[in-house]
Amino acid sequence: MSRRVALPPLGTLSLAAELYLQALGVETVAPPPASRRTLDIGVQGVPEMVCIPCKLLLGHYVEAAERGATDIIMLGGPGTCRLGYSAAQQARRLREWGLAVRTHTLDLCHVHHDLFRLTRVLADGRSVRELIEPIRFLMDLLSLTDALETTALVARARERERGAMDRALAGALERVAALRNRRELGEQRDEILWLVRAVELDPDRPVLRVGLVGDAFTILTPFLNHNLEVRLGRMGVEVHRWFHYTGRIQVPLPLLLRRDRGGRARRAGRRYLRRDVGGFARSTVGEAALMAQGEVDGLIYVAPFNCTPEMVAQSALIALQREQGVPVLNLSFDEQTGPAGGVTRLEAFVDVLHWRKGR
Amino acid sequence: MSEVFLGMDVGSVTTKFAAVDRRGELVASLYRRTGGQPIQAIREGLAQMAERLPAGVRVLGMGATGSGRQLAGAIVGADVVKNEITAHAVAALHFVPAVRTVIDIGGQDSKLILLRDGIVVDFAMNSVCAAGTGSFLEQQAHRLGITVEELGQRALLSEHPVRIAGRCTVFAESDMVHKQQMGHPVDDIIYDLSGTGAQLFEQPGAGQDARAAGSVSGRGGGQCRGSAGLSGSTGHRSDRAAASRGDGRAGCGSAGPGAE
Repeated sequence: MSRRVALPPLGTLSLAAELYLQALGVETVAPPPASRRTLDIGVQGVPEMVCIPCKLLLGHYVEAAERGATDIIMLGGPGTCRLGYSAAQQARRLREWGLAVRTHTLDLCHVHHDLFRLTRVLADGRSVRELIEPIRFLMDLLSLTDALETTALVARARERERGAMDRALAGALERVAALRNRRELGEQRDEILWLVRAVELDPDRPVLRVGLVGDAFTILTPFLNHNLEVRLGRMGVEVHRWFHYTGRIQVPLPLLLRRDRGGRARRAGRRYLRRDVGGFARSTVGEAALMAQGEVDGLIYVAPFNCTPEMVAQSALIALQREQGVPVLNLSFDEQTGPAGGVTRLEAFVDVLHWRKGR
Repeated sequence: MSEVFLGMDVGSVTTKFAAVDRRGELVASLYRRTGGQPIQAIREGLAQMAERLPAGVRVLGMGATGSGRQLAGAIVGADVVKNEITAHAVAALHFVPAVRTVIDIGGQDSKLILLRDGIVVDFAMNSVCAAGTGSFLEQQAHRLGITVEELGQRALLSEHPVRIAGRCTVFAESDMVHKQQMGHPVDDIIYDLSGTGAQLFEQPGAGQDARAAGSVSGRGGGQCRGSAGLSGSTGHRSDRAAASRGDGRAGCGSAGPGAE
């Protein structure tokens, strides 16, 4: 039986990964976007105290199996938090529920090596040489989608017509979804980028710059964070997301290792958090420290409720806040569906930033 | 013909209206329960306000705040829709220009707002729990057979305060029941119930700078009372009482336990 591979929806990563697998000749299945139902399925298989990404992911895996996936790529790997064994637990739950799928874990802590390993498993029968071109395609795809998203996150704050940026981004991503190989991408790259760069902006609008740090899964899932990034953009806030796929997946040249952004963030964060406490805590504290050095007016720390690594990181940020004088808003998300409390905090935070900036 | 500006605060528990003239003087106000039906509360409240205002009054502008502000703003076509944190801060600055701390014990959340030199520099809200909220105080008052308005006065009668775990409402309630069964007088239990709310403002997680929060609230009693009196959802008298009690405890907490 041929493989039908599914990947949980995770922003533009899923889009790029799907195109990559298709370029390798692997059939893919796209699970439906996160919904109330996804979460309802997930909570049945995960203990109540566990963080929400874990629950939502399990729901995605089940919905992928329902759509006919034979192989599911799970996010996990040996981290120091629950993420370390959540994939194993979820795989077991799928078996208990009688879903006959093969599960593969993508180790988020060592993405470069593991992506290659996983590719060889999924595209079995192909030589290493045949993998080179698709891998380069994947890197170019991620670099393109990162550029699109970064532009949208910053420029949405200045859009003249509300919603124009969202439409442009959706249109651009649709064009990306139609790309089949690196040649097509090369030919259309500028044209696709221009779709979002052509959105009419108001250069005189007073905008704020906010750094979005914390748990990547929560940041990248609008269903969980109540569309935080778009909401901020429409409040006139340029969003600087700490997490970019290109930075996570591309292998930096050893010589540049200490000079790239990741290296600088590691050094900036060492002062506040010395060891790896799991999740994205260490990288996110580093990025926050770097952003606090004049790149942003304030920081928003996003975490799933009850996430241990992020709680440690949050306390590390108190010192950062005191030393650098940068305001930090902590937002934690759980199964609640009402955005009201969060919106009040966001609005008040934006007011605080305007006030401080007006000084 | 008189002219007014009308403000509305549609909260989870109560809905407040205030009309001020061009000079900012209060002309009329109304304080009523939301009763879980904000639209009805707004409609009836506006009708009651009309009775309290002189006939033929012109409303020059309307503002809405509170957790129901979007709804209220849409219904009446408000000119300004602002979150309650900013509204509190601006109102407190109007009455007490040197204000440094505002504590609001609301129905569904409690807020601590820190101001320096006339601007808000930080704020904190209870994150995911009902601990320290007006609804919890009201619920416990009801369980003890008194009204929430009486809480403050009863707490002042306490002679031997007990210790109640206040970080979580489940713990707080079981602790209260336990102390009750041990034979502690209700006043002592109420004293610490008020104190638990104040302690939350001292927690490093709640106030982002615990020392500042503790010391500020210790000194700025009058300011806290004044601003808490401006709004709040559980009944303004009780809010005043709760804030003043809480404030006393916060100061007491930083001086050492049982110093009061």
